[in-house]
Amino acid sequence: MNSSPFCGAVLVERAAFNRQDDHLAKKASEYLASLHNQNGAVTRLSQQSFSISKTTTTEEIVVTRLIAHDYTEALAILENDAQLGFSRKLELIVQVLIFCRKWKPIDELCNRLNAFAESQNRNYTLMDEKSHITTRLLLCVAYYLQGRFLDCLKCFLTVIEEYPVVMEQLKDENLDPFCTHSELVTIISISLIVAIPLDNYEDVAQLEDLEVFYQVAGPLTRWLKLLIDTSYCKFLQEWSALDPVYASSFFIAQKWPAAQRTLRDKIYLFYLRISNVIEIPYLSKTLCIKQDIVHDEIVMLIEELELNFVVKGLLVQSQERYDVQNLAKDLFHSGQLLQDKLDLLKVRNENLRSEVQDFMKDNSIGEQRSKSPQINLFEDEADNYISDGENDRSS
Amino acid sequence: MSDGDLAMATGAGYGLANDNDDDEQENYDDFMISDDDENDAEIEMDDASDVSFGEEANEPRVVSHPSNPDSGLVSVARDLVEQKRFDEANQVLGKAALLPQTHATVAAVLQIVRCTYLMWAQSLLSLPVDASGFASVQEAIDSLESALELDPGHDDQASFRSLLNELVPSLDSVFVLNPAWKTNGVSICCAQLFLVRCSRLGSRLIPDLWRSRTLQYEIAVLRLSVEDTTAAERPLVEKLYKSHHTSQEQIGNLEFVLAWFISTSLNEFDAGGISICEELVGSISMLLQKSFTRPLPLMSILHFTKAYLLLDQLSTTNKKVSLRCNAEFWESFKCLEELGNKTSFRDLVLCAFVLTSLLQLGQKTNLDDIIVPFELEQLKILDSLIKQNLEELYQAFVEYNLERFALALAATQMLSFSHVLHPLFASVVRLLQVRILWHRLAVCYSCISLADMQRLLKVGDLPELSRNSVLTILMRSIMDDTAPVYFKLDLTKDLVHFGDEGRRPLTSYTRDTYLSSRDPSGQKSGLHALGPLEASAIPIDEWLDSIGIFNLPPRRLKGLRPLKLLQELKGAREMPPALNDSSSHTTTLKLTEMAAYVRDMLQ
Repeated sequence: MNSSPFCGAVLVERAAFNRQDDHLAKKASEYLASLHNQNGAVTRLSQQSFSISKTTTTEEIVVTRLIAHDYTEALAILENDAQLGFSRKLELIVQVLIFCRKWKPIDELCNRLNAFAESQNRNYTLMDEKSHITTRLLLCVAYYLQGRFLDCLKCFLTVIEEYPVVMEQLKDENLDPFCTHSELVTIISISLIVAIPLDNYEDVAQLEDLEVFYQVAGPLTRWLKLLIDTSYCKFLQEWSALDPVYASSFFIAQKWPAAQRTLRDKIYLFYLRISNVIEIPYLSKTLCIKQDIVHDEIVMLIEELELNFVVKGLLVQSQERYDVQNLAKDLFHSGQLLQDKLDLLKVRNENLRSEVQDFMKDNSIGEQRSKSPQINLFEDEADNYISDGENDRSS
Repeated sequence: MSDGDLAMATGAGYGLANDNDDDEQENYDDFMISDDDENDAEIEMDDASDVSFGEEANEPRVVSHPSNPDSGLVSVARDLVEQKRFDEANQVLGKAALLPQTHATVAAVLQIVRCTYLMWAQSLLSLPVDASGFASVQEAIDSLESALELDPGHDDQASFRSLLNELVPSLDSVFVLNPAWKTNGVSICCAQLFLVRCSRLGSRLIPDLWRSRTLQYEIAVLRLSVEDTTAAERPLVEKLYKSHHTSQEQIGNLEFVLAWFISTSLNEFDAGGISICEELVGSISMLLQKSFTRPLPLMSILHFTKAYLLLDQLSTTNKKVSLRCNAEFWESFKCLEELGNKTSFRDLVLCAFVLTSLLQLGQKTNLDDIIVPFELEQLKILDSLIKQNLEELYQAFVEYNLERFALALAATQMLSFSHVLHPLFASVVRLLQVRILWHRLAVCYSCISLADMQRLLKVGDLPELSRNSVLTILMRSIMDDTAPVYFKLDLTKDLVHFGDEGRRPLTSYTRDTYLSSRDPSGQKSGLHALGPLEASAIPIDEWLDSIGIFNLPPRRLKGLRPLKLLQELKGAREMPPALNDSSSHTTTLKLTEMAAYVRDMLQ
């Protein structure tokens, strides 16, 4: 990967991310101080004569915008620059987009990069080629930051298919990188572990073309071996042990918990795939994960995915979620509900009919009697009817 | 002896050494002459200077100098030496040395050195070497020195080199290929003494050769001890390894160093030289690419080492490694056969070859298309106990007969050095257990406890498979897609249910129906929240595909390029798996959803 003119800005972000790391904070503030002096000089000079400001490169201006989190401005400056070549410009734009986490434009840039590669017929100048490789490796980082692990891996494999020598180069660190080579290797390693199905680890581990990469990425080889041997406990412990390291890396940390969780889910699912009944304490012991975590995560997995499993106490049991019996019960229940409604209506109708009949009967009798008491009677009847109706509704 | 006889001679020497341990003299000759031949042949390749003596008479390129009047006397003396008539030879040479031409004197004195040395060395019968008799040799060496000072000729180097190669031949891979070398302890010690005593000449004329030869013999002398002298030898070996020589010598030295490391492993001395062995294999292969010869002894240990270094990576499922080991062991065995080597090292290589052949069976049940190693021509002609044991082992393996297998295994492991093949034995035993599990147990039982499986898979006196190992076999078979019978575990009672009855989908959804039920708008952009922050979440489809709930992993990914493999994976993610038995579940799911809708409306 090329050195990045923005590594100072990354340093500031890293320091902001790891507030407890005094060493990092000191370096960042030193950097900011040096920038301030430099800039102060530049501004003072530029007030005197405009020609001096030309000595400030586009990169230097963009850095100040990045530190100020003024990404739109930074992008605009880069877009309008005429001195950087196309490849270099793309490389820097991708870095800015990673800063501001704008993923859609990155996908578009990826297309532009491909189109440019096609148009050049892959006859680059050395500089262009370096930029091209760096941009692609940055895309890996961008995919990882979005949690698109498979795309991250695929992007990396595309690079090394064309430039196998990149694997060797990742062994040594570059000066002033955007993200360090070891971070990149870790990002790719994590993506590989997450994206490749358990069943295919062995196929991947045996890829001859990746042998150099496996040598560079020492932990990955070990992880794969443990996973292939189904030593999930040891594997998960190893990952937990890496927690403090990865959680403090500005880039890796962002999707590290998600990667860990996804892998746990993958392993739970494998156990559910091969077993009818399994006890949570057993899983907890076999996988070296705390029992309450196993419980919560298994329950979540079953509920979220509506799996054909139920958790009864400490037992996870295979059970059809949607079997015909349940359906019949459900339909029977619905039938019952319908029947209840019908019964209710029937009763109401019955009531109403008898009321009406009574009324009519009374009416015909009343016609034969004197008029004044008849009216009172009718009013009483009406009151009764209304209160009956209210009772119905409330029941 | 021509070049072609070289292999025969070397082989015969080793063979004889095995059979006639009491006849030391004969051994000595075979041992020395054969190696001498080899070295002469090598030297001729890069040294075109005419050597007028010290060469075997029948070597076509070396003709006695016609203008050399003493050649008659010297060659007469040479013949006498061949016939071990040392005294007469000495007399003849004494005359030749008195001739006026100085270059003739040099030739004669060289012959005197050779003659007196051989006479002295052959008079010794047991260790420790009695150096008192060396006086006459020393005298000859001294006079050679003064003769050379008088007449420094242009072929002195070559003459002395060939003398050294004859009397003190390079030891090459003798540690591995000729376990009887120790019975030649006397000649090894004599040679070492000779090297020490001619140090002035050696370090002046041919310093590199002299130094490396001295180191070789120092190491060999140390190794003659019954105790473990690995620690003392190690610095010498490293010195030898780091010295730079002309390519021919370098191959010999590297062969010696490689053989040293292999023999320490064979003898269970820990030299901890895996990385050095890897380096050695690399540099020897490089040198061989430039060389026209492929010396069989070197090739046999080179192929063996290549496979040996891979043994730790062996597993029942890693086909690539076991195939490569198999091929390398076979190459090594063929070299040893051609050499006529009948040592326990040959048995070891044979054993390794048969065991790796067994690994090639994998889970195959149809053995028709398998090449049975014992049908190979090279093995058919063998007649040895180890072959019988191996054949029994092979038969018991393919017949799933644990008892007979255990017996044959024990018999095979009696083989010396068999500890070297430990990972290989372990893999073969494991493969047999896997095969019995799937081909015998799984088809017979519909339900069996893990404990019973452990009991039924026990091999002889070997410790029982652990419960965890049985589970690992089951789990790995699922992942390799090599489980021929469907199974489900009941991990509360430790039972395994075999058979299709247990086949049930994990979920009734498909990827599409699931995603559309999650997100009514049909977009797949939903994030699966795993943490408190949106930033730590991942796209839900990425999560689903990563945990692999809806898509069965693609199977045929072997031998693909990385990118192609990934494209297959990506394709499998987007392709819904074939709906077979799950279709009725899908219907139930749909009806259930409808019923739920109706019920909700009613309530």
